[in-house]
Amino acid sequence: MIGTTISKNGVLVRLTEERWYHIVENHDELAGLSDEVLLTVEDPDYIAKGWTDELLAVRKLNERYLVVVYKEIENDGFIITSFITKKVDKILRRGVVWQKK
Amino acid sequence: MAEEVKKIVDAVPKLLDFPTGKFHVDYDKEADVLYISFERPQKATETEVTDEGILLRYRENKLVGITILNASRFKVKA
Repeated sequence: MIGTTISKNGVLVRLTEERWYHIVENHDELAGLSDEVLLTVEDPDYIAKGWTDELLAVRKLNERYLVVVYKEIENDGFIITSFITKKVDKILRRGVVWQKK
Repeated sequence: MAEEVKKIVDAVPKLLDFPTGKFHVDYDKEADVLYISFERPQKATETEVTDEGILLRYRENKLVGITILNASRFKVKA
């Protein structure tokens, strides 16, 4: 296990080694940022709707945004993937379900 | 084994239609995420999200990878 965190809904969200391996093997810009990924779920700037039942946690990281795709199923949660983008508007237009005040 | 080989051979026409001759495919089964890299490492500088849940990965203006969320929805029903 790389780590766990508690989401804004109070759900324990896991980042497993296997998941992290796939993420950094392909989205290599995230190498070394596992703590930032977990922090984004725990303390996001926004949470937007995904495409099915995923949630997208968004947190500003320098001039760009770290986006973490995760799922909460009852009291269990896990991270699906993550990426960095400048174009956060399109993600937020999906529907913001939570926003930092 | 013969069945597995047949499945792979059946995919060959689609693979030959890919925009590049070289690509890496990595399927994260538990997360149902399919990562396709046209270069590895991708060293992407930007990720664009489509309305269909597909992540387009660019290094400057060059497409270096595609990540497909909920990939199993594209499975052809038997």
